[in-house]
Amino acid sequence: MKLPSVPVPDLYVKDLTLRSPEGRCLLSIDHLHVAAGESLAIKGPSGAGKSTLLFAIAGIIPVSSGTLAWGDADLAQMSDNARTQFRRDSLGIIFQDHLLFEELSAAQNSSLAALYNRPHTRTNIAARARQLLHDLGIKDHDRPYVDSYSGGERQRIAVARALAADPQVILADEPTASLDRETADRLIADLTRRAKHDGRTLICVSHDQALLAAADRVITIQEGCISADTGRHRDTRGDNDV
Amino acid sequence: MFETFWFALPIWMQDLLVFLALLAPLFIAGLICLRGYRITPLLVGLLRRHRMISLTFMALIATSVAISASLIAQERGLRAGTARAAEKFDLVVAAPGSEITAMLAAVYLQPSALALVDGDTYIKIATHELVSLAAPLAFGDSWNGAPVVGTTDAFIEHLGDGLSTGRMFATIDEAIAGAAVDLSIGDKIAPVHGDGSAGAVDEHGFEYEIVGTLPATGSPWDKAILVPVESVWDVHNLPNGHGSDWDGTLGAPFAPEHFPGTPAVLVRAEALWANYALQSEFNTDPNTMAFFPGSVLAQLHALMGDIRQLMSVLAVTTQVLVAIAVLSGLAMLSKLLSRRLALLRALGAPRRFILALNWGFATVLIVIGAGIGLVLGIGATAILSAMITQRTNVLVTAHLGWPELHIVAGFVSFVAILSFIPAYAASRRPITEDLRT
Repeated sequence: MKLPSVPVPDLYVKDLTLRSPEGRCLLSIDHLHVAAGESLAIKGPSGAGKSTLLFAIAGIIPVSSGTLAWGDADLAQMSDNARTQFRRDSLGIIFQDHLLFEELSAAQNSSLAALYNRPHTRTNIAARARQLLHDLGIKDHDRPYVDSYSGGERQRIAVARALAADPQVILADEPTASLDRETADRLIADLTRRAKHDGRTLICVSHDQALLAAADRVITIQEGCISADTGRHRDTRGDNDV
Repeated sequence: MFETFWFALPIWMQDLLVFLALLAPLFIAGLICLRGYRITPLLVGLLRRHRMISLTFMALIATSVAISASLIAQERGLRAGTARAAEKFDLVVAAPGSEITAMLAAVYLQPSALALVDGDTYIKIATHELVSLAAPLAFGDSWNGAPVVGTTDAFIEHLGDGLSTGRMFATIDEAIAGAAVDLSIGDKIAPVHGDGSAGAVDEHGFEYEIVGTLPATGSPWDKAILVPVESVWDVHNLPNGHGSDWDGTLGAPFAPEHFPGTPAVLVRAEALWANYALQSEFNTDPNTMAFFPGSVLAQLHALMGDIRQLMSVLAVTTQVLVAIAVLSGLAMLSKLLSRRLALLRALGAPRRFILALNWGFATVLIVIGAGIGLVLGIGATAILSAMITQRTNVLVTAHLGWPELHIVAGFVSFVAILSFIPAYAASRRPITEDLRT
């Protein structure tokens, strides 16, 4: 089930600054480019600004200054409504602790986007969500309460939710943090395979070595700045392959 | 133009249109707010997850709606019931005094000390050319809590439009039982002096046999036992209204010199204008006071009308206060839901979707609460009506009508509009902070 979508855009970040309401600098990124279809892992110590960067990339946190553009769409210049629409149309987000609606079924959770998306896309979203649940090994989608599933199953339901609207970009915040090794490995395999297979951009915040190893590229955030940019394609010193 | 159209409509249509107009803000707000979204699964989920809170809120709303609707309906039912009970009492002539006291005694059989209309005056009334019925009413005795009233067969015929069973009394020791008196034909009763409420039993040593029963009239007379007026005078050692040559035939004509007096006379004329003429004539007579119970009742109802307005204001105020309390509760609940709402926003749900979800949640509680309140109100109204009927013997058949539906519709619309405030506040909450809660 394929939903109509626009080509995957690159991410450009330049002279990005994010400040707290009190004026404290939370994030300062001079330059970051993520190519369409690339998988990027963000690591760093707690409180360094990893999730803040991810939320900024998602347009959840407004940018104080600089450029943060997905293709031609500069989130820094967009209104809150426009950023919300961008998220709705282009991004799929996975959170650390699943953040599912416990009182809904797996099918309802994974097709949440159908509730607020344009009416003509609803059927496709719901059908795609069911297919994803099936592909991810979630049985019995219509069980009334999602809290009866295991942690791994719930995170896979969250993955299905992120992918149901067929976004070009997947953002994940510590997706394996609450999972055991075996379950985490399966989730990493699912996530990276799906991103690669469909040519989606994948940006993950993680401490998980397995996830970091699976990513095309890893950046390290320290005190709100990128301190290292390593990976199969480039590092912080230039555009050389490593 | 509009007035002509409006007043050409049937009353039920006018009521229905007013009802729909009062609900219109709710429907319009709902259409605008919910347009393009499907909130039902999340709404059902929220109601399921917070069922105890939801039930509490609905119970509060239902209780306030039920109390106010049933009280207002009860007032209307009581008004109709008292008016129906007075229907058979065209004109009452009594000795000068309080019209209300005389009406309460004659129509509603409330024990009262009334001055008596003497024999000459009674004969003057009874023989008036316009009068077709002049029935003396003699109170003072009771049996088992039921008032025993002395009167004439003509009054009984008028009151019940005939008997439901048996025959009219023919001798002074025979009686007719009202529809609500637990007596059958052939039963015998020994009345006591007074209404029996003081506990003192002062039997007259006189027995009546029930020979007939009246159909239900929906008035306190259903619980009365009607006996020949001669017998009431007789057991009180008074002249029985007839001379020594009386052959035992009950009722008029009475001899003025043997007429011991009566607290009230029910007077009836065939023509409406004649009743007014009689009322005017006997009101100018220094020995009498004539009044239409319906007019006196109308004055009382006018007073009740003011009370009704006050009750309506109090009822609506109570409902609104309860609704504000519920909305405050919902505002606090939306803080509990803040992480979920932030999640929806992070996933791309527009602010209006969050507003629609919160508003829908509040509105569902309000509408279901009000609906349950109406059902409870119907039950409460029936119970209250039965209690009032039991205590007063005035048949009160109150039921919820359009006025109550209008109040509830207005209430629901008003509070639904009001609930946009907490819903709007919930839609403006910061996403990041709430996600990290």
